[in-house]
Amino acid sequence: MAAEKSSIITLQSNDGVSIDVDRQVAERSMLIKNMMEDLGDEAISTAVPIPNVNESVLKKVIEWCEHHKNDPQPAQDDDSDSRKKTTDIEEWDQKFMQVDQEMLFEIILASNYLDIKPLLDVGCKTVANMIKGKSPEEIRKTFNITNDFTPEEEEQIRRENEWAEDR
Amino acid sequence: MAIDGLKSHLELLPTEIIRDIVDSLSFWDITELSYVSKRLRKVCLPSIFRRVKFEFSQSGLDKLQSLLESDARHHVVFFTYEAPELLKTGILDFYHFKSEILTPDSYVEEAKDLRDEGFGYDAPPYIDIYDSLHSMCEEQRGIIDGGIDLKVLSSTFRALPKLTDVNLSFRKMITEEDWLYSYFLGWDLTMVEKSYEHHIRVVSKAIRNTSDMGISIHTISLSGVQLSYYHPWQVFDWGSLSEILAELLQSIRVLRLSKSGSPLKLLSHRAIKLRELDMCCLVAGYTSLREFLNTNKKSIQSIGFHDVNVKKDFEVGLLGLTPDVLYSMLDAPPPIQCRDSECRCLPFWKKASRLLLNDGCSEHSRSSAKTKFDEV
Repeated sequence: MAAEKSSIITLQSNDGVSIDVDRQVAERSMLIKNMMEDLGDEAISTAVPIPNVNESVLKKVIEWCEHHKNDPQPAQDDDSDSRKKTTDIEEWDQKFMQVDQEMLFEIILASNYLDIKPLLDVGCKTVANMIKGKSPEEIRKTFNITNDFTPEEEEQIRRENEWAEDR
Repeated sequence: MAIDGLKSHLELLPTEIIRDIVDSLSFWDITELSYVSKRLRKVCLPSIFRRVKFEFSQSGLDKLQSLLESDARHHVVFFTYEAPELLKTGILDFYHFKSEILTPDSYVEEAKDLRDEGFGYDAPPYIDIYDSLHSMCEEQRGIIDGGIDLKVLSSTFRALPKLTDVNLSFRKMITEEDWLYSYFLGWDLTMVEKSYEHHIRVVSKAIRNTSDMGISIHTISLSGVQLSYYHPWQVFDWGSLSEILAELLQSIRVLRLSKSGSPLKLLSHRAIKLRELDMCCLVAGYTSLREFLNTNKKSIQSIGFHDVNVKKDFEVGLLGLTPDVLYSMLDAPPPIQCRDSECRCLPFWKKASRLLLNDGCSEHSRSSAKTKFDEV
């Protein structure tokens, strides 16, 4: 169905660059897909502004959509725990996510804004993998976070965390 | 998107995205993350404090008091209360203790046994054993006589807005590592039934005290309720424990039993308005289970189980519980649905079974049918 309607649409990044994309690729974004459905063919003739995303990030996101254009659409409420608790990422996506931290977080924010759940998932899992097995100090170093707890507050956290049942 | 160069990218993410990240971490990783910064701690709180565990002891109840003053309380959904066996009150009276509970003669025999088993010559002095037991007993009595456990549990349950599941977990007074272990093993120092009665009664009252708060506790888990089999000539009044248990389950929809076969026997003739029964790792009497299920046939819609064995009267050996065994107990051929389900105490690759009764009746049509039935 998507193939027969194959057409090119133009996306415009927030720094004013127009990028032509296959409609099928662009529609990995639920935001764009819904917009297309609402506006119909008139949207195709004008450039679609993507106000929150700059050119380099938008290109990166399109690269991902291109590679995954034939993936089945994720189920609407795929919230099962089995999906959530794994941090396995397929090889292509792992390589795709080998970018500097700024780009990684920009991709996460862009996929959230454009509503591309599977890409957001890959981004979150990548960050989760960077946290896994690290001590608080190592996590702070990795993500450049300042410790804003006083020693007394840290002691308090230690006591409180003991209440948790960690089975 | 402009990101402040001084701030961490991770901390600038919207809360719901950080939550997604936290959701794919293990419990251990989440606790480590919670020490990193205030912002991250806040996002971690719901995951860390979804399940909490406190015990019946002075220090346990003190900790529970501090939960009430902490933000963590807003996130508690599952509350486990660990209840040890209660020591015989006679321990408080030295003369009773030495003549009825642990006589000097039996102390000497125990010391010899310990030496023979290779534990060395230095059995703990009699008076040290007495002092330890005495102070443990005194602590327990202090809590019970002052009604402290009831007071603290009541105010706790009232202060946990999301609480739905209460797990009452019974355990031995002390563990294998404790130096007093062999004395607990060899002598009758505790009152098992009294312990069940007391703790169940307290939890039950505490739950009822929340009724004006809009807190809806709908699931009770019981673990470790296992009364030993009595000789026919020993008379034990099951009635009061059965009464207390039925009271606890008064407005409960889901009952989970883990390593607890006795509640089925105690409840076998009581109609409680249970919708779901889950059983994990237990041995139940065949007759008790059948009677319980048939007494509660009307309300129960779902039965989950794994690692359950049933024991038939006058038969040696155990029978593994299967859907077929349940069908025959219920006297009900299909339409009953059976499917795999998950259980928290199983690793993810292992599955429990779940029987869905009243197949084809949606929740709604069922409840309206029930109303009609009640009206008639």
